[in-house]
Amino acid sequence: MSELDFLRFTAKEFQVEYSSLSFQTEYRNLPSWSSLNALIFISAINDEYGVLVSSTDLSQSKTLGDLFNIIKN
Amino acid sequence: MPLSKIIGAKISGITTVLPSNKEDNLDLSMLDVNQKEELIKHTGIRFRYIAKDKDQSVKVLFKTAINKLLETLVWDRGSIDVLVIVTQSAQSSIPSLACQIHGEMDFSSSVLAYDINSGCSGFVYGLHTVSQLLASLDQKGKRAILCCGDVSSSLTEEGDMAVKPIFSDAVCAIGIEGSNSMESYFNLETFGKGQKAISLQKNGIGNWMRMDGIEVFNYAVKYVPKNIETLLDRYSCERKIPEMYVFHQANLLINNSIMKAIGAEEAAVPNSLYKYGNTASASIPLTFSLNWRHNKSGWVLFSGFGVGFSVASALVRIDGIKIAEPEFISI
Repeated sequence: MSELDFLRFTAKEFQVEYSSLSFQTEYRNLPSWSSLNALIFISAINDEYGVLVSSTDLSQSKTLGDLFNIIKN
Repeated sequence: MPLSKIIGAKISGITTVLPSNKEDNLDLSMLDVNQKEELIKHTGIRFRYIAKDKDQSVKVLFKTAINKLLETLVWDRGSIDVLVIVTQSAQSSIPSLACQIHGEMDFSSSVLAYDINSGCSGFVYGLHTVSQLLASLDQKGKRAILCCGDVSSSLTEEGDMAVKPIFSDAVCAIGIEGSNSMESYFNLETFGKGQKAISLQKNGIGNWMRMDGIEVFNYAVKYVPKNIETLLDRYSCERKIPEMYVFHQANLLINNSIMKAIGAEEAAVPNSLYKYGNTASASIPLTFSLNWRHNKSGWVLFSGFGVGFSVASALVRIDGIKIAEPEFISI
């Protein structure tokens, strides 16, 4: 998984322009972020990367860069 | 618990009872139109049945389901040996709901009656317990009634959008009887470190069910497929291949992930989410009874998972079962 791939994947999931995202983006500020969309996103990450991101991991991360590191590690 | 095999019990009948009050997730006032459509698309849930009177409703639903079961199977009340109730929403748990129902329905004093405090895995736990009990009884013509279900709306805080759009009230009564040759196989597991995924928490004047949807998803996707595969690897063979996989009806995201992980065909995995929501421990018998043809024979895989975090699967032979249409009562 490359950084660019992850940003493209996230842009598709949240239906936003790819160019509007960076590793500094705080994903909770995305317009469609909600508890349901969080679950949908976690499910999509599992489908795409085979990684289960826990609630604790999610609560301790702020930016897409933080999330990328969790998935990568 | 290690894998277990029980010889001596079979499911003979299932009845389902729900409150007649139907709610539509498209009417949720706290979400906008897009959010409601997303919710229905991804959870699979549109309609829910909600009891208006919470006070005694789970007991009334159970008593109605038991009466209907006795009528469907033409069983005399005096022929029942075991009454087990699986619920988490009894208005008063002392004495047990099984004892309350036993007294109010005039069952015989020779009936063994108790409750099992369990939610979404409760049907499989109850089936295991009751099958064991019947296999151990020293008499012929042994009969049991297993009741599963909840009025989850009594534990739901009105504004909790993680819980309210998901859960629905329903109960099932399952008739189980002694059968010398009938085999069933179980894999029951507990992952107690996941206890906070679904729990009762105090807020203001009430205790409300709280659900961490991401933790439920993670525990389910991580442990349920392995639980099922372990059971099938050990016991499934040419003669015991499940024709149907009936999962607890959690939500579509979780259920589809489990289905894909075990490689089951979509046509063999029924769901009742759209019409009935997540009906806790009633969801497996409800979904099965809506999709299994009356009197058909075959092997079925049941898998329940949820509050605990508890995971329980069973590979069961179904033969000559009587299934009643769901009944709706004003409550």
